[in-house]
Amino acid sequence: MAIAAKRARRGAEPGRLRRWLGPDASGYLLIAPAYVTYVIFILAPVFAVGVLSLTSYRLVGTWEWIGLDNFTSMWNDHNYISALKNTAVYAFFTLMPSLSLGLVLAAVLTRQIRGLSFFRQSYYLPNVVSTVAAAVTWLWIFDPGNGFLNRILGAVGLPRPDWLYDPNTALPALIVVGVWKMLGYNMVIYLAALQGIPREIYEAARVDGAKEREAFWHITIPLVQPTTFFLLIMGFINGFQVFDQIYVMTSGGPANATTTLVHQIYLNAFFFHHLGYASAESVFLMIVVAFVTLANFRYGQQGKLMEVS
Amino acid sequence: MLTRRAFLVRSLSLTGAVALLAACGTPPAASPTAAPKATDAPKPAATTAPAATAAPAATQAPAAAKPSGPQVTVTFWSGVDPPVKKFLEEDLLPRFQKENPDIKVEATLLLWMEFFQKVSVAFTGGIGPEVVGSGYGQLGSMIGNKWMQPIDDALKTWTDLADFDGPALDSGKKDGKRYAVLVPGVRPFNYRKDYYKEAGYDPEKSPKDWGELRTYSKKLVKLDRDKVTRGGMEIPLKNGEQTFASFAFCNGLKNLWDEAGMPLFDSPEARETADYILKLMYEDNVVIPSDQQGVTGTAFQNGLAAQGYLQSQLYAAVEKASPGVLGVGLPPASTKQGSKQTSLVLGTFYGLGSKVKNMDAAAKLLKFLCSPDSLWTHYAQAGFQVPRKSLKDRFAKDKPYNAMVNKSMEDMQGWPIFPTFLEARQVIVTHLEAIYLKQRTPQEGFKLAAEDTKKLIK
Repeated sequence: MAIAAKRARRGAEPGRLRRWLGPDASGYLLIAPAYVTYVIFILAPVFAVGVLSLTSYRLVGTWEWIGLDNFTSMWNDHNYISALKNTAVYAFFTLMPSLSLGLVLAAVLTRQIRGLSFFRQSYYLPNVVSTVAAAVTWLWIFDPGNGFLNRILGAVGLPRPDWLYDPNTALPALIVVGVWKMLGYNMVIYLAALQGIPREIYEAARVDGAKEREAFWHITIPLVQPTTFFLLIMGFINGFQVFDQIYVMTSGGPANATTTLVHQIYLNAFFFHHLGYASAESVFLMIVVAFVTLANFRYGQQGKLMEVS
Repeated sequence: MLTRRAFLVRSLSLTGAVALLAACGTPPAASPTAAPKATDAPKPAATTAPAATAAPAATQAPAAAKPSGPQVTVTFWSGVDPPVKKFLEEDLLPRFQKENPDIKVEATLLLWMEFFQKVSVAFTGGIGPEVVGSGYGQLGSMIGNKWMQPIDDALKTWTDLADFDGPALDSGKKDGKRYAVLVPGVRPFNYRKDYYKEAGYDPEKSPKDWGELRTYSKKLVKLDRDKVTRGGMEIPLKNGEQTFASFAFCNGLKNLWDEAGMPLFDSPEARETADYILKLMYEDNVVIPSDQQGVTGTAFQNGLAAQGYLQSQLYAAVEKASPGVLGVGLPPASTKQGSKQTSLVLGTFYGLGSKVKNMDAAAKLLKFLCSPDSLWTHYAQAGFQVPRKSLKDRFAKDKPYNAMVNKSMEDMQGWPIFPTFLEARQVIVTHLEAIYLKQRTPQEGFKLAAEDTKKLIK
């Protein structure tokens, strides 16, 4: 009898967990799978990398806490310094042309021109092509002796560089490939942004005597500023994380001329098993990316304000 | 209404609880003595492989027999190229299973570019394979990490040990113990017979020394307004340590490193070799830039160089693209008195992982992989050498250039086995690139490379 009463009382009253969670219990349950996945696969590994970066962990054998030693040795590692420099150059010079060309292309492709969808698809296609497949094709294009590019340059009497085998031209060649790949994505995002600008603004400008170029400078560019900031940050992050293209096309060579941060992390972690050191490199990369993302929040907001004003 | 504060508190509590749950759920870091769990091993490739195709001269596989007792499982991981993966999956492993119904092989065959990182993680996690096919340079690291065990006891049961070439059994030795059997892939001197004919050279004779090599290369090169469109000699600018070693061995350099991993390349022999290569590159302009490990293949392989040091596993691809054009000779000796014609030999090592649950079964698989039939399949399907004396004649008669390949094996040199090999290789590769690009002189480059290599040992 007493047990039955207890059961009935338990059925009527909410459980302890349910009481603790309050009326939002079902909401918590619904977000739980995504939350758990995030914790296990993102948060926990990030935490682990942070811890490992303070150790001399090398996959096997003993390890010890070494404080910030990994971080200080990074700045004496000439491979890492080369990687940092190359990554910054790659990120900046891939981003700027792909942003500006993406906007110009998007502006052109919002007009009613013949073959519009063909051009839109053509420019977007590189973005969906596998990086490895694209890289192999570009390897043949950049082949110094018999590549497509040098054949053309030779035909018009221009000097034919060794491209990926020359430290002066290897990184620029990779930047060309990076721009080619990013351009279509930027163009599509800009296309969406341009379609959100009310036509009336352009019409009003035209009535006021503004020329097309002036409208582009004074209406289009300011109004797509939030999109520009978004693309700037995403492009910067992608640029800092470049790996597959480098791995397939140059392996970081010649003479470390194209090694990047993620390439160094890969080599140190999976080839040389310097997990502690590679973790420190990852933490530094994460700090850079986090800094840039914070900048996105700040300046992206400014862009929005400009749109409102 | 949930307040912001309450939401934060509850979120953090939930995160903490989940993290704790995740931590508790994670298996503890494997202790060195933890035996690998067969159930944790990846899905076996062999069991899903199609029926065996008969390898050339392979003995007919016996009809499948029923296991006489409970089946034991052996895990086998190997780095492979696509042809090796194909014949292991479709021929050798099914044949082994038919011959040994009591043993189930769980095979994981990984392309070389992903093999080492995956096998490293597997060993560290306590699920390392029992039988391993490792790359030549990777063996030192694996022994250093205590992921491999000596196979001397297993070899005692092999009655045909005397049939093996010395290098097959000795290359995988470390501190007096044998850790693996080498299936060798030699790099003798290679040339294109059609290009030789075109240049007026006898297609059956290759240059004997560096002097002749320069003359040949100058005549064989194709230029388009000073730009090399076909190299007279392939000397990979990137990942070029193998070709450099092939030259340097013939100039009296014993090796690039010693058994402890200390550099031997900061020496007059290595500097002279680099000077000679720079002459070919810049004075003679006979070298087309290439990458030894590039995904599009080497220049020689693509017909873009007339001569080079090609690994024998790539002969089939050259033969397939241009039948009958491949010539094989001994590496040209340097012009120094008494210099030799030594070939670089690398290849795949088969050995036993440090934790083996059923030694008999694992040893049986190892023995099978190194049996005459299996080794012949390695040759016939993927171009490896057959390190068996009993098969030498048959090998020599099988292809017109095989007699010369056999001869090249008489004076051969592989890398020493040491734990820091992979890093040491990266050091010499980077510095060689700088030397070849004239960013540093050979003297400066090798000195810096030697300093960097010594730091690795420390």
